[in-house]
Amino acid sequence: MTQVLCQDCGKTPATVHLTEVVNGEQRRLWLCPPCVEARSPLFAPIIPHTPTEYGQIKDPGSPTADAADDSDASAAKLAKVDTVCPSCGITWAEFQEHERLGCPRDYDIFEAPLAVLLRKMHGADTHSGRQPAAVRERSLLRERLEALRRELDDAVRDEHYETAARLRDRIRDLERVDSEESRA
Amino acid sequence: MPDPSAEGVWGRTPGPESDVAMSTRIRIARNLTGYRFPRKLSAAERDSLTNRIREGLDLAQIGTQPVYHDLADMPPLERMAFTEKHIISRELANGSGRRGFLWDEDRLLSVMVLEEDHIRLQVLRAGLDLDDAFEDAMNIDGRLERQLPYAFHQRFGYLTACPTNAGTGLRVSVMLHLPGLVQSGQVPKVFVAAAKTGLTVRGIHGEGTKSLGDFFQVSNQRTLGQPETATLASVVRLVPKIIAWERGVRTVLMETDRMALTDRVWRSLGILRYARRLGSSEAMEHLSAVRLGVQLGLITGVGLPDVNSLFVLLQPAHLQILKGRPLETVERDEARAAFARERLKAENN
Ligand SMILES: [Zn+2]
Ligand SMILES: [Zn+2]
Repeated sequence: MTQVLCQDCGKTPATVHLTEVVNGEQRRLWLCPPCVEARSPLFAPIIPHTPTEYGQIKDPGSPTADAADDSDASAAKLAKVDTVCPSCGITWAEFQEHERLGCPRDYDIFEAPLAVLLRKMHGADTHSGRQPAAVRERSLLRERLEALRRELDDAVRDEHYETAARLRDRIRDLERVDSEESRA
Repeated sequence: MPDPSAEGVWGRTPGPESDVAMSTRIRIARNLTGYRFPRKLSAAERDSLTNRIREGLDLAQIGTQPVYHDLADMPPLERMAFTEKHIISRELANGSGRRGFLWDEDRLLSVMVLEEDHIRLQVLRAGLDLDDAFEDAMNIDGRLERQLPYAFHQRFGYLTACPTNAGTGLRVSVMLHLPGLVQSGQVPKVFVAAAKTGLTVRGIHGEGTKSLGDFFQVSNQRTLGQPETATLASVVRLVPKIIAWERGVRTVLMETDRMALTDRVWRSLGILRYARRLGSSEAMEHLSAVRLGVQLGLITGVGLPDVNSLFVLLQPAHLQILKGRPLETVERDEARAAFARERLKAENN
């Protein structure tokens, strides 16, 4: 993982992203907390849209990352150059240029490079928290199915055949609901 | 025509911790599945998606007296006035094509339609009122979700045009008035404390360097891999500390040289009361000092809501709407001085 170093001291990893305006010109700065303190309060930090330049992202877990220490493009490598989203026509290069995706499907099409980027931005690549009710119900249904299948295994092992038959019917019903929902 | 009395949180009775906390905002970004993000929509798609979202907003019955504003038909000055009230973003106001927003003045709730994302829901509150705003926003989001099919990904959560918002799509922010920390050069301490806990601080009202009016917004950066309640908690933990620092500095300023501070805030009030031409940044600067003076009891006879609302009413679009025509810079400065004078008139001398 490439650390951006503080632009003032050049030693400590920069964790604060600031925009400084000098004579009307904006300059982006990456600083470490002590160096921020050393400066005057006369600047306003902005929310970093890109905690680091997109091009410089490396996925520590990906096989391509170790090879290219000087790399500026392992996320870009993960995204095949010629991949184009069939829904919105965006390419990874276009995304890098605008820093905006074109449609929700891009999260599937560019899943691998986006995961790298998201880990950089958020320190995680998996959602935690609220879900739409339909998604929530669906996962509850699947959990219920899992539980019933375990009960069925137990019933068969203990030779409780009537219970097993009842469980089998119940499972079949729930499986039907589940597959109908995935078609919907 | 924006109702001139509708000032969003700025015209409200000050909320909790209002000596330092100006307002609280919860923002949730959402997109509909099956549609490209706004930047990639054709004109026809913008129309049909707008209609679809408006139907959803109607059916969800959010707010008590919601009014939908179509920005494509709105004159630029009026669009600007809504950004001056912090009700909609500059990006939405200055965008192009079909776009708009729902605003409910009563519940301090706005829903921006076809900004960077299809839907940006915002709940505002005066002062520091995180729990209430959060609960309201979550509740409204839940109602909207029953009407509109949100784009949701098993791994990445709610999908947004910019990956910086993916996951929860949640931005929790509090706007703080920090004249004491600014004066004593301690604002960097706030930046550092925020950065350490994954939060960020921005000056508002300024172009870059300086936060005009000494207002700063503290908000979370992370939206992925952290549940909404944890994001809320991170802001809930830090903001009271910043408020305590600001109060501490104010106390020190009062104890060390009360007269210097008194002199400064009254001079500012004097300028606002008697100047004949007032520049925009000059006005913000003096309003900030007057707000501090009122809070510390150094200035009496001026109400806090009046001062707060002037931060909005003295902005360029508001002045031009008040005058009913576009104004040159000098005319604007004169109109600003006249309006400030009228609003802050001394009663007993
Ligand atoms: Zn440094
Ligand atoms: Zn796409």
